[in-house]
Amino acid sequence: MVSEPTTGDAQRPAGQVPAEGLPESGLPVPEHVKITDPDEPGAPAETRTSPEAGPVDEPESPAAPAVEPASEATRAVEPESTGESESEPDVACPSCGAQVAAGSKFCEVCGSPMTGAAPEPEPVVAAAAAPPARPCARCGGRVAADGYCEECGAPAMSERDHFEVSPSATVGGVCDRGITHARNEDAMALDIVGGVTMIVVCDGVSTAPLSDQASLAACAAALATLAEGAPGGPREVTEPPGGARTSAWGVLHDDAAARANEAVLAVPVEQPSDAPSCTYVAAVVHDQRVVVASVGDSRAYWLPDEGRGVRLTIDDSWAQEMLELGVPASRVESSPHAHAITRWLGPDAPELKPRTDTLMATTPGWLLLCSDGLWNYCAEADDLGELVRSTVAAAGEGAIATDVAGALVSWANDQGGRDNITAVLARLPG
Amino acid sequence: MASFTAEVFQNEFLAEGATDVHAIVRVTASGAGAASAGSLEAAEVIMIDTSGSMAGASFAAAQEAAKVALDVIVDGTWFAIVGGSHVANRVFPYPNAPSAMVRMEPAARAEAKRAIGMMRAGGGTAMSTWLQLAGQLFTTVPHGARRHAILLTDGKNESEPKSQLTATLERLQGQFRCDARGVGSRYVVAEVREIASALMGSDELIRDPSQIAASFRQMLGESMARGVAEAQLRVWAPQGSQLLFVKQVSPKLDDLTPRKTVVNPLTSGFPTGSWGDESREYHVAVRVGSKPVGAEQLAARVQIVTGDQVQASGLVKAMWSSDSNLTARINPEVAHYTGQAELAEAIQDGLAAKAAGDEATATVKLGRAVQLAKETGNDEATSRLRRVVEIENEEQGTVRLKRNTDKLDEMALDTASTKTTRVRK
Repeated sequence: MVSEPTTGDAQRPAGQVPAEGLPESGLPVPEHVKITDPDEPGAPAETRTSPEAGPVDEPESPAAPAVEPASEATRAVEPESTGESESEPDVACPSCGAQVAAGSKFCEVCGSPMTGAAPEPEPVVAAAAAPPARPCARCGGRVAADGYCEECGAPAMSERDHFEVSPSATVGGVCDRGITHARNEDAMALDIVGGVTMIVVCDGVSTAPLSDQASLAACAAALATLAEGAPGGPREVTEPPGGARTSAWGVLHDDAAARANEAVLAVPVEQPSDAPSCTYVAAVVHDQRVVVASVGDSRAYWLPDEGRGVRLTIDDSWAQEMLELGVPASRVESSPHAHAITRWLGPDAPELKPRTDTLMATTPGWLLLCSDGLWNYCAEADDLGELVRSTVAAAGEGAIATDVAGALVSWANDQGGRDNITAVLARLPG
Repeated sequence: MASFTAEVFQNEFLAEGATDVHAIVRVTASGAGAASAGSLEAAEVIMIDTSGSMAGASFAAAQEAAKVALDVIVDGTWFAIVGGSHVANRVFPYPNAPSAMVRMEPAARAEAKRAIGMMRAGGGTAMSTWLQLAGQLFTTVPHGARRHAILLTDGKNESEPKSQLTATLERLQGQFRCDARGVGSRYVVAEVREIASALMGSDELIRDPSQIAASFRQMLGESMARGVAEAQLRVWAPQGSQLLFVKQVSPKLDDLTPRKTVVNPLTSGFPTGSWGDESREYHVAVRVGSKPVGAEQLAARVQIVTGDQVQASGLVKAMWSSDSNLTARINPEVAHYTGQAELAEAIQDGLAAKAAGDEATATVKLGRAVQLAKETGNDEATSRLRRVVEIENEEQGTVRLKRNTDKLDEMALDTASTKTTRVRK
């Protein structure tokens, strides 16, 4: 593969210096950051692990001292999943055949989504009976036995490199490897439980090994925690509506991020210096109320059909810190550290409590959660709103949310696909 | 049982913005040789020029050669003899015989020899009529049989318009294989080449009538060693791409592009005729849409198909890279055969210019040919060129046209221009 990080860096913009102490801009050097992309300049190994990080081999979960079954090691050696259904018999992973606890969202062994794991409502795109060769991720054509599409010639992608989830016609997401990266370290998990839409997107830090497993595990753990707040769940968020509801979801968001972090810590590493890590963004849509939480630089946007788009998350990034200090955006964006994040989930994470925000969606529009593989090409909320509107129009009648998310991913790939791309859309009626 | 393999030689790395993918695909058949040919139904038609120009030594030699050919054709093979002038005559089986072709056996062989002895030279030359009759004869033999013909001429196809021959060849494409031979210096190299190319056979110059029999023996020997009656080369190219060309480049140059048939919207088929134990190489060029750096795409699937069975498949790939160390390399096989194709063109253009009296163009073209023959290591082409030009500087391709060259040397150079050499390891 030409996209191996070792085979030269196609994407390094001209004039940028490789990893060294001072960026040529003279901007302050970030001290405790993670470079999310090994192809980015300024990714010295030292900045990956933090000296003040807690002991790697004895992971603690500061936000959740009481370990509940639901949060137990999603990466345990024995294949057992989020623990909710311990009494149920194991089922076989449709991808690798491993025995996985019933109800698991993802296979413990190969990381493939467990199709049909979501009990309700029925997915619109029936991924249930996995056909022997799934259609081409790029054009939907048949993939030949030689591993290439019979229509467009694109190489077949594994389930981990490209997957789609469609809980309903109005909620759906696509997670894709992109073009340049050898692995897909993005992950997503989404579901509609008791009428409440919940979405989690994590972007694995590609400078840290095993981050592809970390992001999947984090998504699954967070979604399971958020689901506890759904109607009928053990921690159901109930009336009265208003602030109480928002704060109840806020508590669940804090716990979900903590559980996600535990899941990341449970990823078996080969050596202690490996610190699989990922970003985190989650959203819950309860009636008109949208509550989001984030750690790192994956984002949520509210894109109403009319009026201005809003970014709902604030990046935990060096770039954001510089902007807050008043450094001009042009200097920040051209810096080799522009992609360094200051908070993440993982063994050396500095702080786990997510930033949260809330919104009442009183007009129709789209909620978008995405990794930087998408927003790097279109960061401004208004531009993204325009992109989503034109994509919806091009998708035509009968297109479901997943189709639109897929078209956004294709668009990012057309722009170069220089990172993993995840886009999850939820249509809110207002 | 015959089996095929396909190997692909290419540099799959493309620079940003690049769209053209070139590859050499080597298809090798094994187990298709004499043993397997023996169990195959086969049919042979021998076409002998009986025009007035043949009268004399050539005709007698051709008659002898046809008789020798009958001895080589194994019993059980369907066969017929055609005499051709401005019309075509079935010499054997006799025109009043009930069946158009008969199986070889000792009595038929003896009777056919007698029929050949009674042939008389006279009339003009209209080769399309000969080929058309051969095509009709072949329709009477069992489906799936290997169909092979030999055409021998000594003259120009003067009794019909050129378009008549071309149209007939187009109609007959894929129905049988025809090896074409010209004897002496009065036939037209391009006409014989056109017949052989369209009907997937070989073309050669026979300098002297005494060599006709040996040539017939060789052609029939090779034919009977082909245990695969017909194979099709299929080239799939992705949606939105353009198949620029498909050329056979080894053992001889032959542009297959005009013979394209549509297998399905993304797949083209090209007849390749019968196969013995041999390797053939094809140059495939596809234009795809440019993709971002890092992207990979299959640019072509090249398959060899017999019946409807894919026997072997080669994958031609495209990977866009910003590493110029990878993208600037030209694959040696692609470079070699690109040079050989240019060599053939330079020889043919040079000789045509010379024949038209344009000595300046002829000198430049044949000089370029000398240079290319040197660069691609085609020593045989160099030695044939030496009979037509004085070489002053091989590397720079400076030559002088020779005076009083033998017409046969020019024809031999022209005929052999499509023969290529393999890449030297």
